Amino acid sequence: MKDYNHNNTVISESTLRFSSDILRRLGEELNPNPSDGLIELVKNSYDADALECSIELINTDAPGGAIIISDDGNGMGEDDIKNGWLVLGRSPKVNQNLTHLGRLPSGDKGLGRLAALRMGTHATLTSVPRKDQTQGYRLTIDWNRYDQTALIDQVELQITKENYSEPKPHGIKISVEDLKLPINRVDVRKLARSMILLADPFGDNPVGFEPRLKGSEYKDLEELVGTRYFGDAEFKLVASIDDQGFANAAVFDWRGEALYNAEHTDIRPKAKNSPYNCLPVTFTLWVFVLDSKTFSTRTNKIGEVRDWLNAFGGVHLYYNGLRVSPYGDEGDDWLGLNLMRVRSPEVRPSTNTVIGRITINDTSNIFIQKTDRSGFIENEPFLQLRQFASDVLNWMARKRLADAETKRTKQKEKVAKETTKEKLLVEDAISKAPEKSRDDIDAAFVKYNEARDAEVGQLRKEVQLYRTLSTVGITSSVFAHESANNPIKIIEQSIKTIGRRAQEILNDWYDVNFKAAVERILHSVDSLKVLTKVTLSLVDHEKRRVSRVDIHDVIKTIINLYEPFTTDRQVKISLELAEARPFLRGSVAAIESILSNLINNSLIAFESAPVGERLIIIRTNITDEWLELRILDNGPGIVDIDKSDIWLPGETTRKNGTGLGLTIVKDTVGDLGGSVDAIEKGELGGAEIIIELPIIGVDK
Amino acid sequence: MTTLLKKRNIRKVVIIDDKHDAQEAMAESVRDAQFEPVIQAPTTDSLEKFVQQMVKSADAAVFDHRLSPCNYASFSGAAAVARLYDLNFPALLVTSWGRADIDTIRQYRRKIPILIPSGSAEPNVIKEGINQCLCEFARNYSKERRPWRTLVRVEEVNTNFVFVVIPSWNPNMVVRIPMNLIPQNVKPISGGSRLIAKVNIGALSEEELYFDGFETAESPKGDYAKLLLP
Repeated sequence: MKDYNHNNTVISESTLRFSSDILRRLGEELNPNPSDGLIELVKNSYDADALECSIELINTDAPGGAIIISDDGNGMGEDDIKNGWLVLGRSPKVNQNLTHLGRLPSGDKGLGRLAALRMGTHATLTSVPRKDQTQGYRLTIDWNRYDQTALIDQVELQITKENYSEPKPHGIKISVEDLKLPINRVDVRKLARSMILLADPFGDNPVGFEPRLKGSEYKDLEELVGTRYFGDAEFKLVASIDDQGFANAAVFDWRGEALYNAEHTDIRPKAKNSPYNCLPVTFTLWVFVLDSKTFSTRTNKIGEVRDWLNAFGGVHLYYNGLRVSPYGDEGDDWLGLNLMRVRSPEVRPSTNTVIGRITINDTSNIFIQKTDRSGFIENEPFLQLRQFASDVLNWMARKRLADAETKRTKQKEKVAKETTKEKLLVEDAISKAPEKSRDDIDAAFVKYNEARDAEVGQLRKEVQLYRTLSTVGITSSVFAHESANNPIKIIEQSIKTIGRRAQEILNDWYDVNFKAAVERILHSVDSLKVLTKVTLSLVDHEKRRVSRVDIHDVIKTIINLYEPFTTDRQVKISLELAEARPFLRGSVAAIESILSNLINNSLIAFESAPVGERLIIIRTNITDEWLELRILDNGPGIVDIDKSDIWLPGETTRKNGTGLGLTIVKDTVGDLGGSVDAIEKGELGGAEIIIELPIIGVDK
Repeated sequence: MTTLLKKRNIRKVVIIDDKHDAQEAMAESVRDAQFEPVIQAPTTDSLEKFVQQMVKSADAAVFDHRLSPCNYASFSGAAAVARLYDLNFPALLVTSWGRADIDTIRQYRRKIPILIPSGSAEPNVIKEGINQCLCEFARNYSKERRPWRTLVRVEEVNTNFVFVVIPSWNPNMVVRIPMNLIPQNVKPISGGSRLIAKVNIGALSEEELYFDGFETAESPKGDYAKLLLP
């Protein structure tokens, strides 16, 4: 290439310049609503070590109004204004030193400030610096002038200085005047909420910064935040990640007593030894149970707490001392609380029943805020933070579920004991009644007992129905769309028509070329029919009758029903049944529920890991009055979940699993008076489930 | 495409099913049985209006039992077949669901000569089925369908079902029948009640059993009856 440089002469020097239009684009388009911009100005005050900062709205419900922002911070001198305040878009990384009050600067790039200042036709800054309170500086920006010029740098801005005889209070005051648009009620309320929440008003260790929105109409909101209802929370969760990335958590009850504690491995069972790739974080969450029963003994009213949670609830994110929107804003559910609640309403909180905060101190800019101020860029540390919060919530839900299960079992035992006790009391009272009327009372009591037994019997049937239906659901979901019946009918009839007509037309040709194919289809149709048969067989009314049930009979029936599927899936089911035939008092449906759920579980387990020959053993042993039923497989075993958690409803390691199968097994076995246990890696190398059932006898 | 059965010319066979594809598939079998298939469109008519219309315009029909799931008709196939039986109009019932439908079909079973499992409706089955309907209209029952007046023993009763034993059919088998089969004048009944009913005791399976003309069995009479404890 030829070098032309030595022939060139510099004719003029120039710089990149910006059209005035860029101000509108940068400011307005990057800050879509007015409160976000104003909040950036408040954050500037925080960075300037202000203790108080107020925003006053004057006649802003119509165009032409004004906004005044004032603080008692460090103020600015000429140089600060010229090289700081008026410089837009500078990277916040340049200053990450702590302020005098030990605050980490929030690091506004100046774009939010631009948007706020441009809300009026002109903006005026007055400043008294802390280092010399006898001098004041003033600057007015008239935005109309920018509209009249093509380039930004054509507008000269003048900073004026005034000397005071007496020192004046330090700080700044910004007036944005002659607003172009009114600020509506919704935006004002949003601004008020953002102001109140900005500096973590719930914290036990506030940063000493109090932003306020002046105006009597926002007093109610301010009062609402002033009243702290934390004492009414049913639970308080405190969790954190340490500087090595390891988490711990604890849940306290409303009296402050510790209920559960968790180490990293409990919170992260699927990745026990891997730390979170995130900064140290603390997560505090207050969970409320908003029902009239809970609040019947409280001094605060349920309605007040609900209003308070509606106004400030959600999980807020505090970054270097200041709140970052939109996390925890109305309608923002960044931790997916509401979705998780839909799946498990009993123990999951929603955004309307919690208030909480996650706090991060980031001195090295690991978390990066988006330019349009709509939260953080979802980089690895942010995703890990969210994962941590979700893991902790899952852990808490598991613990609460286990608690609820224990309570439920205890309650059942208590009620049964009480009933027996009361019955004895009545019988005792009858025996003391005058002889003449004793027989009548006795007869009436027997009748009453019969009626009560009938009622209890009905309830038991309903419970059995729920379990049966769940089993049907699970079975259907395993074999999904295969169970649709109508297509089977049409396929069968049509292929028979094809076979019949082809035979008539083609004679021997049919036998050679088509017969085998037609028969294969018919054979497959038969397999499909079995699916329907299995599903329908489980819902048969008679099976829910309490009767004498021959357990081996039921095992064999179920194995027969499953045979077409197990053959297709190359699973061998081997029976090792005790010689005698045990029977118990119960329902066929109950035993079928236990067996089909356990077989389903093994079939699914085989899908997740390859094994040579898939094998399930169903084994029975009889000892005294007990039957031990073992279901073993050579699948991958119980992995990624604690052994004791497999029985909890909703707990599943499968993406689309219901997590109900083993809960049904446990409940059903419990109803029959038995117990359940599991071995993660049993005799065959896979899961081994052990069921013990009381029997009433055996047939030789 | 007309076939002479029992001195009746059977030409048009209407196909009633809430799935159009299923109707088409059935039409092929009907055609191969030498009848003219007629695909019946969905209807909002009452059962009575529907059957009256059918009797005028066709010679026989094949009904699927479940007609409401896809909004085809408001009545069931079993109800329609039973009503057509009264009008001496041959109609076959097809069901895909076997035991699951047995309770809803049972109350009409007396007037359903042929219940065909879906997929088995082949031309010879259709032809034979229509023939059997015509035989029954002439009181010429097959061994499995002939009604006999017999004892029905009630074992247990709940809100919806009665569990009975028909000793002359199978003394060891308990059969469940819907409560609404038992007429009011026979009630109340309870475990231990003895009833008389017309039952096809030649039925080969529980699904084929029908019950008709229930009456209360009289108490045992005779000198020894007085000695029996209540």
